[in-house]
Amino acid sequence: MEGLLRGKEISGMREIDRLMEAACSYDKKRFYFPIRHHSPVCAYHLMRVIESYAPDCILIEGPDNANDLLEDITDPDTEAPLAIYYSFRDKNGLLEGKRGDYRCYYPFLDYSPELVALREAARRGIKCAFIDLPYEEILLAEKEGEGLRKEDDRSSYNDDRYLSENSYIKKLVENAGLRSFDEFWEHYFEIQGLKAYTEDFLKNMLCYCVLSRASSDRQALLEDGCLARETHMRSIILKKSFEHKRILIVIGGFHVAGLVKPDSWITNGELDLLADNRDTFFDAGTGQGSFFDEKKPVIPDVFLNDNIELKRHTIDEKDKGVYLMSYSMEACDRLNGYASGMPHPMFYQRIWEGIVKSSSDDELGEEDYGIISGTGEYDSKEFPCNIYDQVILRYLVDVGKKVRRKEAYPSTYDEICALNMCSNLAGLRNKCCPGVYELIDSVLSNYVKGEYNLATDRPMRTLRKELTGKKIGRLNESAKLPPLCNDFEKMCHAYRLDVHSSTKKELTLSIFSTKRHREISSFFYRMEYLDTNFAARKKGANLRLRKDRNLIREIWEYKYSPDVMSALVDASVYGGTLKEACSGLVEKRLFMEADASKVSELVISMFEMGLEIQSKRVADRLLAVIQEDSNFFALAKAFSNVTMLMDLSELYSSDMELAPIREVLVTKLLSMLIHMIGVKEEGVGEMLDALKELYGVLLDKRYEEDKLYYIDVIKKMIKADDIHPSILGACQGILYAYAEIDKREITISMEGYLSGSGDRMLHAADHIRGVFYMARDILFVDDSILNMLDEYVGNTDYDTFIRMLPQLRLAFSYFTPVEIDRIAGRIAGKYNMTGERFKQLHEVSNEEFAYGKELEKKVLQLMGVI
Amino acid sequence: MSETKMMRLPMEEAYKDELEALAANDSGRRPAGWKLSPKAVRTFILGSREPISHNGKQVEIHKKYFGNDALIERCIVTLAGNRGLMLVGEPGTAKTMLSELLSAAISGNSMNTIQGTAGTTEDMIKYSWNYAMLLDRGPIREALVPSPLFVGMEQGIITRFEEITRTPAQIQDSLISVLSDKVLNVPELGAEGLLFARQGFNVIGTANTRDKGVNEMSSALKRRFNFETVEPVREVRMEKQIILQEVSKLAMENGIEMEADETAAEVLASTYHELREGVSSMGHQIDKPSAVMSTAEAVSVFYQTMMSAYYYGDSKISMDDMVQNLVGAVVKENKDDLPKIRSYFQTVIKDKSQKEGDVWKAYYEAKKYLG
Repeated sequence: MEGLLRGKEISGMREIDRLMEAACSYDKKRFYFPIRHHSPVCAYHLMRVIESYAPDCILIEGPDNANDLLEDITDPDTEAPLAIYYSFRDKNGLLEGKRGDYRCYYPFLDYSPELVALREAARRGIKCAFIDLPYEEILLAEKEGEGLRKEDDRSSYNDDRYLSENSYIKKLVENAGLRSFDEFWEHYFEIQGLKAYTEDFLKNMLCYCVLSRASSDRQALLEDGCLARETHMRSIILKKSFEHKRILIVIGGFHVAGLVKPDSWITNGELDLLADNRDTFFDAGTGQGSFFDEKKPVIPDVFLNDNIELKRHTIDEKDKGVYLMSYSMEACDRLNGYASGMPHPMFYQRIWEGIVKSSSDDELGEEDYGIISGTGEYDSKEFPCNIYDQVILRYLVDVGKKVRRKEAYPSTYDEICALNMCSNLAGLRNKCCPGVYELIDSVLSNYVKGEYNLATDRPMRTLRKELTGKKIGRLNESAKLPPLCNDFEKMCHAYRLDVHSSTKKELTLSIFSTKRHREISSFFYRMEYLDTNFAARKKGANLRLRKDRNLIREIWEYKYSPDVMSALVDASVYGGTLKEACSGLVEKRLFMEADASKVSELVISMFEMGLEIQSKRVADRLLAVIQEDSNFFALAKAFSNVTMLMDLSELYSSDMELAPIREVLVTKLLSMLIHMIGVKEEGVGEMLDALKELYGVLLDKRYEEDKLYYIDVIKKMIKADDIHPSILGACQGILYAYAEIDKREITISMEGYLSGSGDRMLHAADHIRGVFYMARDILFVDDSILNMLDEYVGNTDYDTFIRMLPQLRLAFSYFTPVEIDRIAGRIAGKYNMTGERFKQLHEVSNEEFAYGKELEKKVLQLMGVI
Repeated sequence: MSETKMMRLPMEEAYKDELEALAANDSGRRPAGWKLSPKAVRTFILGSREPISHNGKQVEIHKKYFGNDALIERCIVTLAGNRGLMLVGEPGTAKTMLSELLSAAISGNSMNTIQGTAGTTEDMIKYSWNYAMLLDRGPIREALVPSPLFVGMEQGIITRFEEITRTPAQIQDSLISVLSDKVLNVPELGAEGLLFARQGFNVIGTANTRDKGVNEMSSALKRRFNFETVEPVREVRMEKQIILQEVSKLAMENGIEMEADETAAEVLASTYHELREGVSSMGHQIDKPSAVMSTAEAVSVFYQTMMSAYYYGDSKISMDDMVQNLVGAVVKENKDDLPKIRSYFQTVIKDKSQKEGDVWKAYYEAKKYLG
């Protein structure tokens, strides 16, 4: 580490020595072990410190309301990856002035120093405890948008933002010529640290953590709750000091310099006394001090933390949750967007397994061991540095094998070259052995054949998957589960669902004839809504897409796996039963949504899950979104969805009160309708749907007044000059259906289009489409429209006809097959033909048709007609 | 060969001081046949923070390649191994420059090059004959005209194969056995016809992935190379730096005594970057032109603008000239791109001219040249 520092920074090492003396001395009552979360090298040295320091108490950074879970975490049947799940239901709006649900995860992998410390403590019978503020108090100590209150779907308690996200570290990484903080960490800590003596490693860690802290801002630490947490941790450590003789404190490296104060460092309190002479201690311009001033080294005030006032809040126990859950490597991988520590968890898992194996393996030769820094000699007490080489070789072979199954490469020679490249890259980068970044580089160079793009990236995709790993943790059977999980088990038992094996089962539900089946269906929908991967509908009505609504049965597949429980733990913040949790989640989403059509889809979900509109708050919100949405099409979609649900409510035995929502939608749509005259081509389909839905609903006598208004608006619409022909046709169809106009008016209008010139004639098919969409029965009243169309088709030229054909086809698609037969029969009759005649016709090939056309042309020319 | 008469110096000449200083201070292990150690080659290309003392002088090692440092390291390690290096990517991503830098640093010679074209034949790759001498004295070594590949093998230096994919696939394949066995057989010379490659020999190929008229490489040949895909520069800051550095170099070589304008370089770098990525720094979605918006093109546009200012103007970059040159660069490939550039000016540059003012305003006003 010192090699990377500038001269003036090295002068600050004096203070780091003092901090080292105060924090990491084996003869002191308290030993502070600085860690980075999910770091095998920290875990390795931590094990050595536990061995050497022999503490009688281990205190670990982590919200202290999880202390009851310690037994479950260290149970021999519990397997990592696992996570402590914290939730807080802020009913009283303490955080944002409104109700809100908050949750975060504290993940552990086998090589997380915290888990290693907990397991070692359990093995040696040492007392253990978490020492941080409870989760909800951390939230309350933070400013909005900071720390755990950042907008993040999966916020992690133990991210390493303090150590990786500051300007100093960024500069350091750039100067070291490395591409990221993670590569920097692997180079200087994971790999070099494995060979270093524990004391050297600790000093490097402290140096790095102090430099990170020195470039932080005290105000920022205050706002993200860091100083409040440190104040709490200090008080717990002090309390425990009365009860124990040797305390090992395992803590994020950043906090060590905030918790430990060497005697020479001045405190905030002392500073106040020296207010007049503040400039003696701090730079007058910046208000900051610096370790690195050779003549006048001073302690920056970001290290002085002894006067934060802590206010504790009274929160109902029911609103707080803390549970253990199984976790996955995938969720732990920071590259998947979860800020939970180091990337590539499976790679470091294998490194950790190597470390553990080496610690218990007495048969290693001298050549397997690392060189002691500066001496050039091997020391059998040190750890083998070839663990990285072995893991990399395994990866190269595994990835090679997997890629070869699908592609014709890589060859064994590619694998040899890749291994060689790893070592050479490590040499070029001054690393004593290759790490994950050399592995990635060598796979990219040696396994990818051709330009690197989507078609050639299989080796990299495979490598990425392998570096992340698929391992999923497991909880011991007695682990405390949230009420939501118990409710799930209760339901499975009540519905006799087999959750004792992990094979896929299929269930056919007659939801409309059996009440119990409808309940099971709702249960499955609820599980689906909570993203548990427990059940999936294979067949049955899809209300959202309006497909298969004729099906009277649903076929579901369900399968139990430990992931289901993890997902339920994850959702437990929303409620203690499945019904509550689903309602809670719907409510949360409802308050995030401002689009009426999306809100109506939420209502469909509620309908499927057998939920009701649970509170006035939800009902008001539903109405508010509709009132505030000014998008006609979104409202029309919502109206259509709500109408469908009302039509189905009896069939689905739903008690959902949707009438008030539909009333608001009707009013809103009617008020906007007149402004939609100039709708563009792409909106015509939706507009026709909306007109038709409104027409259908307003037939109900309860809406008599609205119907009159609707007719009035439609009458105004058809008088507008710029109305789209399809909308005009539909409006005329509606008025015809309400008996407001007679057939003649429509026929005149249609004739106007058909006999028009240029563009107007081309729009004839649009008009016909609108008319048939709303009032297709008009065609069967008499033959006048049919004759008009027949005449038009006979007279129009080929090119114009082809241009109109798609719209004409669309217009006739609204008729049922029987009606199409009737129309065809009438046309055939007009030409003295029958359906039988058509059956006898044979298909004419394109060539025959072209020949016929040509022949006809020639004949007409000879006859002098053209 | 006088320096002033050459339009462009080879890399080993242009950076002679740096290479000598690095060689003199190089204590690292050198692969057989290499002039410098891999670490020194890395420093030569990526630069060093501190100058190096050499012959009583402090020699600055400038950064010559901007972008992906790890790619440079992979290239160096590949060349130290048994495989060839193939640099692939869009036009204008400095593949050729990189292969020249690597050859100059490793072999001290960046000129041993095969220029791949559709008309490249196998004898241009392997060897041909001085037919007069051949007829006169028969097939003797003196009558053989060595190709750059032959020279590379004979002298243990890097052979550069430019635009390899422009060469027909069956001609490309004549490299396969040479790259595998490191032996070239000249049957006409009988027992003396075997040329064993000396240590230090390797091949750097460059291939363009976007231009028309390229041939696919056979998988047998692909297996003999490690591929490195050179991506366009992803940061405006870096692109600006490249423009300034390259333009200053060109200006110096051609006796143009004019400082490259940093603000103008930033405007151009930002334009090229945004048009290439299809999104502006302010978040506008932009219609990407089909023309290659490479950094090399940006350098060319900037240099032309600089020359106009130097020879016809007052030695100050004019935004009018820059827009006209930009239009020329884009339209030469596809006329349909002009409306896209126009729309870019009407949205992104308009907004920037309102927010940033000054030079952006002048740039926006030059939109009249977009037709």
